[in-house]
Amino acid sequence: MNIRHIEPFIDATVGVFREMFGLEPDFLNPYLLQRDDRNEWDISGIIGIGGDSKGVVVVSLSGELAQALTAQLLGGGVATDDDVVDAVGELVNIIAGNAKKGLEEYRLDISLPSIVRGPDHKIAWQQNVPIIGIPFKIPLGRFHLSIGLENIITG
Amino acid sequence: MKKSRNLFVRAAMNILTSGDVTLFELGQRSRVIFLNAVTIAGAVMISLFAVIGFLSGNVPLGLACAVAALIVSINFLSIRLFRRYMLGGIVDCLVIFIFYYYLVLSGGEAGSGVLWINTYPLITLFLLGSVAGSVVALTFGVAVAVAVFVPALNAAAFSPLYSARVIGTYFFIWLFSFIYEVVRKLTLSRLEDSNSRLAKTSDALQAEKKQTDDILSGVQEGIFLLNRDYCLGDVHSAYLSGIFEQEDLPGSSLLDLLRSHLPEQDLTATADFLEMLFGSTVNSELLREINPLSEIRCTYSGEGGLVRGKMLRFTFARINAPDSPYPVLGVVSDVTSEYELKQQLTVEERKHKQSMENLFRIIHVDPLMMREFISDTEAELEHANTLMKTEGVPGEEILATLGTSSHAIKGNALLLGLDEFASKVHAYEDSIKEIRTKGHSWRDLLALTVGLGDIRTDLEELNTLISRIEKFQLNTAARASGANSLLQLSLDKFIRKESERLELPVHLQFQSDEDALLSDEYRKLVKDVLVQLVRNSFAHGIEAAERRQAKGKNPEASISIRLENNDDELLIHYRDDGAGLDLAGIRRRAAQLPLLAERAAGLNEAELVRLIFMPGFSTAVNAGMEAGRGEGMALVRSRVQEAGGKLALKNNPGQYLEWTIRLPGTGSSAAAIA
Repeated sequence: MNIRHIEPFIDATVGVFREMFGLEPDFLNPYLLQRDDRNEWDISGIIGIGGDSKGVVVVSLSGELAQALTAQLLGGGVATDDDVVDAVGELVNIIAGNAKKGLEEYRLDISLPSIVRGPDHKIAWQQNVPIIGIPFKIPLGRFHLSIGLENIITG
Repeated sequence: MKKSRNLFVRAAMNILTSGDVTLFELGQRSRVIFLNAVTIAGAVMISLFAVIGFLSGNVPLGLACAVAALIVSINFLSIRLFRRYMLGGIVDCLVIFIFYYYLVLSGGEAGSGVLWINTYPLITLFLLGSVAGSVVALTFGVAVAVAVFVPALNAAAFSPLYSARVIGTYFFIWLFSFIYEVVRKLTLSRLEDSNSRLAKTSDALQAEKKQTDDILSGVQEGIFLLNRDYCLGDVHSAYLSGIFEQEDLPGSSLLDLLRSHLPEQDLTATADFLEMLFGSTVNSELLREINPLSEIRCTYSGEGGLVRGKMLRFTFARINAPDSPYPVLGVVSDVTSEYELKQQLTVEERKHKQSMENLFRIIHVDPLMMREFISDTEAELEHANTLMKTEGVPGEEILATLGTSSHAIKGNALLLGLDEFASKVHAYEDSIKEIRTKGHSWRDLLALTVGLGDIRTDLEELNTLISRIEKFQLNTAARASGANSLLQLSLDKFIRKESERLELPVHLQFQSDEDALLSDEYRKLVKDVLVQLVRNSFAHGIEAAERRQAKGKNPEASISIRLENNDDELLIHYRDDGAGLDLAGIRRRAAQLPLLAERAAGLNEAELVRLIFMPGFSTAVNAGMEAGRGEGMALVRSRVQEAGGKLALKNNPGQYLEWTIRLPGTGSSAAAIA
């Protein structure tokens, strides 16, 4: 995996929280995610990657954090499940969109993001691809960026 | 021009052409216009004569002219309705024949009626053609001649000489009209010939153009021409619009078409390349080689956040016509699927190659040892990763753990001869060391995590391979003899390999108490520690054979290892008969370190020995795969301490170096069961 393929997503993620919510996420230590690690998150947005590298980038949140962020976007009140899905979808869309610029330089394509929901949901990661887990901390809670990209171009 | 024509002109043209000017061929058109003009003029003129006849009281003349005018008018209408131009012409000629002959016979004002006859050859020749017209015109001439030469027949009673002049003039006019008509006809027929030839050429060209168009609309490549401003020509294949995802391409600059779809550096390279392409200094073959667009990835934005990449292959050829406004022909095709297939093949090939390399190594090693290596390495990785996962662990601690873990992994890989894997880990260790020296950032930790992931992926591949091999190769002997003989086997193999590589003959004496069988808990620990000690012996202790002989030692060095159980303790004795610790060297090295420089000279022996356990301390000048990082001894001490054990060292300079390691509990599987 090439770290430069990951950086645009990290920058885009931090940028979205900064611009949409006025929050500066704390970077916690990155680590390796096992393919069958249990996922403690309730909602994930998945962006497919193609081109010189293949794989997925996943943004995961707990239910409470997703609720809180959605409520903040809606200007208060209690957000319905649909609102939460829409809000996370939008969040991931913006991350994908903002990461685009950096990705063009590295000749990567990105697909339209999709949303997976449910407690302890599982992501079917590719075989033989390391998955990097990057936890972030914001005052409202934690969220998580998981990146699994295959190296294709070796030269 | 047609639009600017006013209504009057259009109406006149309509009348003169019987409705449609485009209906006729070139030769016919003037004849029809003339016919209509003559008919209209005749009708008007004869009507005028009728009016004059009635006004002057000459009723028969008036009546005759009125009838003639009516006939001519009807003729005009029938020409328009039925378009029987020849019939219309005959009627006109007949009426005019009779009318003019009447004028000749009646004489008119001072005999001027005869003057009208001079227009007759023109009319007949134009309306009826050169042959029929001449027959009619000459018949009329003869009839007129009879009338003018016989005084009784004409009212004007011309003199014979005058009559001769009248007839002479008439025949001259016929002659010139005849010549004119013949020439006109010849010219026309030539014009028609050339027109039909042009039409044929045009048809052929149309057919060719259609073929070209068919090619351009059907070909699955983008074909275009470029001018000196790198702009596209007017003609291009339809496929090109699909490739650039844009209509209206003619006149667009190629650079503009690529601008938002290529990285900046590729675009700059393209601009430089085009400059060379349009110049003449670089030859075509070289141009082909340096073409930055020969296989290029362009990204196109779709709906929403979608970004699609396309692999495009451009080829360019100079056109060998120096004055051409479009001196370059470009062809572009979409090779995305071809490229993806190639990519897939490359990946497969690479995996296959790596597998084969690993396979080659593995078949020479006992599968159990491989298994052990995999599970040990996994344990190391997991150990490091668990620490990374734990929130709040300082980066320095993570780096230190990654350092010792990767060092251990590398040692084990070398032990099994997995050189490629070891060299990857070695490079990883290098980067850890570099980061530790310059101070780490979060991004450095990320990079190390990515590196760790790559190591794990390689390990997974090895694991898959070993599982496959295990089916074929199962060494039951090694399995029966247990973990200790496996340890002996590994160490023996490692020592033999190092011995060969460094050209230092070394012999291993391995001894293990029956009840000192290692439990799983200590198996890895003991192996890690022993591997590091062996490496240390090779790097720092054991002298070259000649030197040993000079010192009166056996040229073959010996490493002896003994495992024993002693009152709830596992004892590990390790001894090499090398030169022992180089205390002077350690002191020199210490003097170079900023923290120790001042105290180095005053350090006593025990303090100097302690230095070798300091992470990063090494007396080796260059760090190699085998030793020199200063991590080995640090690893030994931290492993032993983690297990609650003790480490003792006996240094006899010039003679031997002996280590004694005590680990709590017997560490023995037999004891554990008991």
